[in-house]
Amino acid sequence: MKIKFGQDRVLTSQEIGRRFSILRTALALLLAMGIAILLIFLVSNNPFRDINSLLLGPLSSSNRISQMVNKWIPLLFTGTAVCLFFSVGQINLAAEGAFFAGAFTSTLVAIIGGIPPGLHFILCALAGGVAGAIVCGLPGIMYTKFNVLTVVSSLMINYVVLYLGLFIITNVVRDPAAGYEASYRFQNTARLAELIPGTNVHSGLIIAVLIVVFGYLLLHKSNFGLQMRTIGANSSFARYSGMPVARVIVLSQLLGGFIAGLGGTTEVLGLYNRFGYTGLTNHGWDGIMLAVLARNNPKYIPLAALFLAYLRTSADVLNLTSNVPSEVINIIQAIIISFIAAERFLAGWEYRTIVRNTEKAMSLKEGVANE
Amino acid sequence: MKGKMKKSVLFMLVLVMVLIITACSKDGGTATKDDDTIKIMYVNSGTLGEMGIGDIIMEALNDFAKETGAQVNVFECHADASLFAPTMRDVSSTGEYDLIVTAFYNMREAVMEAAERYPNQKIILFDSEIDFSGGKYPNVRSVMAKQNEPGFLAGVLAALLTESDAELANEEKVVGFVGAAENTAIQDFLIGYIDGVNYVNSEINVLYSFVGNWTDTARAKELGLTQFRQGADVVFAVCGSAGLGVAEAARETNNYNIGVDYDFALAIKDTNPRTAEHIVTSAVKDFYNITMNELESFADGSIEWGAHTIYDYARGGSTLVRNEYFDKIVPEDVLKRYEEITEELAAGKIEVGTAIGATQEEIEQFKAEARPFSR
Amino acid sequence: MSDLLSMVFTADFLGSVIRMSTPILFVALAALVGRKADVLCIAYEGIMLFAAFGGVVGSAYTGTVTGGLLLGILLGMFLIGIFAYFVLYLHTRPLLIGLALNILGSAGTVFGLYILTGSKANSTRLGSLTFPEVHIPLIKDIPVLGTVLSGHNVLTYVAFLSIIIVQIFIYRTGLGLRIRSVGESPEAASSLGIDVNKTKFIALLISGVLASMGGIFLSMAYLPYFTRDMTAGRGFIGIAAESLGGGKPLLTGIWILIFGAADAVGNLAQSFRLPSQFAQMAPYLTTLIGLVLISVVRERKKVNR
Repeated sequence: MKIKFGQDRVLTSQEIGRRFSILRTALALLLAMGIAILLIFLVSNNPFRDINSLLLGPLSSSNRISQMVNKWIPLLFTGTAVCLFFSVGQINLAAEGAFFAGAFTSTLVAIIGGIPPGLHFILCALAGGVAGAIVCGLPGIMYTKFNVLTVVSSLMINYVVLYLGLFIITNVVRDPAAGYEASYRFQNTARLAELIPGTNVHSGLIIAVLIVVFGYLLLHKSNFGLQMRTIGANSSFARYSGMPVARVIVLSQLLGGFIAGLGGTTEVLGLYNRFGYTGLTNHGWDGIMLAVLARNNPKYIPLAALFLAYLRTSADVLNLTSNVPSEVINIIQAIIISFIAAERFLAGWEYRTIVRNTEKAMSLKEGVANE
Repeated sequence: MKGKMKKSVLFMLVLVMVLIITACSKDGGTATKDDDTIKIMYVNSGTLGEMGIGDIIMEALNDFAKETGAQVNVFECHADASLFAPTMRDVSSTGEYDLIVTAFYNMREAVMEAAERYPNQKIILFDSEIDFSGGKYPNVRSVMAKQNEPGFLAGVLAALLTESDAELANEEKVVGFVGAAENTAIQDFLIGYIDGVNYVNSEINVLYSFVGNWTDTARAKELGLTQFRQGADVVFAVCGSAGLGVAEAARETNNYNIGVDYDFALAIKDTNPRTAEHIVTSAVKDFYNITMNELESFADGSIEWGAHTIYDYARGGSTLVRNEYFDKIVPEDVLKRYEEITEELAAGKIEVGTAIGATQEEIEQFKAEARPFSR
Repeated sequence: MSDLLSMVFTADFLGSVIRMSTPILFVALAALVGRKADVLCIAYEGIMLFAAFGGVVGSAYTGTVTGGLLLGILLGMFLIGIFAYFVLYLHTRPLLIGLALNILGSAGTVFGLYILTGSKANSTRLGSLTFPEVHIPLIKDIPVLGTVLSGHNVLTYVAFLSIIIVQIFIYRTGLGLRIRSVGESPEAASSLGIDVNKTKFIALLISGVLASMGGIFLSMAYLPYFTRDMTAGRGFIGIAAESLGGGKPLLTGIWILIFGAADAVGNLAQSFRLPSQFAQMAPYLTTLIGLVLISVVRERKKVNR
C-alpha cells in the first residue's frame, strides 16, 4: 500500500521497516561498542589507545589489512554454504566438519608429487569439495530417509569427522621432520599463489568471490533456488505442489557441503605449507553466524563476512597492542554479535512510528474522500 | 517507560560518540620507544591457562619484568594456525620490540619466515629446534628441554614403585599413562616413560590412553579410574590442567599419580591436601629457570644468536620434583635405585628413545615395546 | 577381546557409566524442557560453564555447599535469562545468541577465574567444596548391585530423580501443560489467555536450572575444581541425547546410559590399544547410529499402525 499525495508523502510500513533495520543495526553496533568501550575502560591501562585499536586497528598497516582479507576468504565459503543449508530450512551445523574434512582430504592429494600445477589444485579442490559434500550430505540424507533431526546429526558428525581426520593425519601423512602433528609439506604445484605480491593475500579470494556469486545466482535466479526457498518457507506446501522435496534438500546440503569443503581446501592451500590443524577451526560456526546475519541471502554474505573479519582482526590487534586479556576481547565479540542480531531491538519505537504514519495516511485518505 | 528507554539509548549514543572522538583525537598506537626499558613480545601459539609450558614461560617473563622493569606484552593465538605467521610478521614489522619470545614446533616455520624477512628482529624460540647450518637465521635462537628424559624418569619411578612395598602399591605389575592427545610432544613423554619402565623391568604392563583435548578434566579422571581399576597403581598424567582429574582418581582409588610441567602437589596442597598426598612427584621441564637464564643473558648481552641449545637432564633442563610427598612416599630402597639411575642418565649412559623426528612407524614400534595389558 | 569383555561386565564399569551419564542427563533434561516450549537452545555449554564456575566461587567464599549451589544456579539462570530475553523479546535467532553465549560462557568464566585467582587454568587456589557421596544403607551391602547403585555423589541421585520429576512436571502439572501448549501451538495457547512469551521464559529458566546442575556436578562433585572449558562438549551431547529420547524423559535417560556405556567402553578399549581417536569418536558415532536406528523403529511403528 503506497500512498502519494504531491509532496506530502507518507511512508509505507515496509519503508519504515527498511529504514528501521538500517537504523537498528547502526544503533545496535553503537550500543555494543559502548559496552565494549566501558569494558575496556575497566580493564585497560591505556583505554584510548585500545579503543582506537578496536575501532581502526585492522586498517593500521598493510600487514593487518591483508590479514583481514585472509580472514574474510574462508568466511565467504562457509557463509554461502550455510545460506544454502538454511534456505531449505535445514539447520545443518556440519559446515564446521566439512571445512575440516575439505582441509585434510585435500592435504592427502596436495602432498602427491608430479602433478602439473593448475591440475593439481583442481584435483585437491575436487577431493576437498567431495569430502565436504559427504559430510554435509549425510545429515540431509538422514533427515529425508530417516527423519533424523539435522541439527543433532550434523553436530555429532562434526566430532566424528574431527577425530577421523586427526587419525588419518597422525597415521598416514604425519611428517616426522615437522616436530609436531602436521602433514608433509604440500607440493608447490598444489598451493595457491599470492594474489597481490608481497601481501600474503592468496588467490583463493577469486574462488571465494565466484562462489558467493554462484550461491546468489543459484538461490535467487534459478528454478532450483526457487524450489529451495519454497521448501524452506513451507515444505508441506512444496510437497503438495509436486516438488521433489527430498531430492532438493539432499542436493542443497551436498552443494553447500561442497562449498564448505572447498573453503577448507582453499584455506590450507592458500595460507599454509602443511596441514597443522589439531582441532575444529570454528569457520563453520562463523558461517552460521553470517548466514543468520545475512538472512540466508548470499548477496549480503560479503558484507557480513567483512564485518566479522574486521571484528576478528580488531581483536587480534587489541590482543597484540594492549594488556586487555584475550578473554575480554572474546566477551566484546559476543556482545557485539548478540546486539547486531537482535531483530526486535527498538521494536517499540518502530511500531509506534508505523502506527503514527498509518493514522496519518488514513486521515489523508479520508481527507481525499471528503473532498 | 518507553520514553525513558529512548532517552537512555540516546544518552548511550552521545556517550559513545564522545568516547570515539576523544579516542581518535588522542594519537593512539605511537607508543614512544624508551631505549632503556627492554620491550618483549611473547607470542603464545596456544592459550594461557592450559597449565603447560606456555604458562610457565609467561610466569618467568612476568617475574623478569618485575625484576628489571622490562615491558612484556603477550599475544595468544588460541591454537589458531592462521595467526602464527601473520602475527610473527606483524610484530616483527613494527620494530617496537627488542625481543620476541615464542615456543613450540608449530611456531617454527613462522619464526623462520619472520626472521628472514626482518633480520634485525631478535627472536627466541623455546621447546623447538631450528637448523642454523650455513649461518642462517643469525637473529634467532632456539632453546630446547627434552621431555623424553623426564618421561623416562617418571617411568623408572613408576616401575620401581609398583614393584616396591610402598604403602599404596599393589601386587599387580601395571602402571599407566594418560595423555592429552597423540601429538609429538606427548608421544615423546610416553616413549620416554615406556623406556623408563622397561629399563627397570620389561615385564611390567604399561597402559596408555588419551583424553583428546587439554580441558576435559572429568574424562581425564575417568581414564585414570579405568587404569587404576585395571590394576595400575601409578599413573603418569600428561594432559595439563586436566591432569588434576587423574590426581582425583588416584585419591579415590587410593593409588599414586605423577603430574607434569608444574609441581601439582604444591599447586593443590593448601586447598586439597588429601589429593596432594597421592601425587608422588611431577615431571617438569624447567622452563622457568631456562627462560630466566635466557632473558638474563639477553639483558647483559652475553646471549648467543644463531644457535641451538639443549638443556638436557644433565644441564638441569628437566627433572622429577623432589618435595615432601616424594620423600614421604618413596621407600628407601626405591630411592636408592632411582638415584643410581638418575646418575647414569646424567652421565649420558642411557639413551632414551624419542618421538621427535621419528616416523609414525617408529613411534608405533616404540609404543609396542610396552607390555600390553592382560589378565 | 575377551579381556575387554570381562572388564565391561563389572560393577565398577557400570558405576562409571552412571557417573559419566550424570552431567549429560542434567543437560538432556534441560534440553527437553526447552524443546517442550519449542525453543532450541544451544547455549548449554556456556550455561554449564557459568554454573560450574559459580558453584566453585560460591562455595569457596561462603564456605558452604549451599552457597555454591545457589551462586551456580544463579549464574546459569542469568545466562539463560539473557538467552530467553534476546530470543523471546528481541527476536534474535536462537542459534546466533546461543553461539554468542557459548563464547561468553567460556571467556567470561576464564576472565572471572583470572580476576579472582590470577590463574587462567583452574580454581585450585580457591579451595571450594564438594557435594558428599551417599552410601545407601542396606543396598550398599548387596554384592555387585551395591557397588553399582550405592556410593555415588548425591547429585547423581538428584539427576536420576530429576527424570521422574521432569516427567511429572511436564505431564501432570498446570505449568507443564501450559509449557507444552505454547510449544505445540502458541496461537491456540494465546487464544486461551496464556501469555506465550512469559510461559516460554519460565520454561527456559527451569531448563537453565537443570543445565546449571550439570555444570555444578562437574566442578563440585566429579571434581573439586573448576578448570577452563571443562564442559568439553557435554552441552551439545546433552542436546543430542534428548533428541534420541524423542522428548520422553525416561527414554532419554535410557539412551544416556547407552551412550555413557559406549563412552566407557571407548575409555577401556584404549587400554587395549584401540587408537585413541576412535575411542574419542565412540560416543558421537553411537549417537549417530542410535538416531538412525530409533527413526527406523519409529517409522516402522507408524506403518504398522
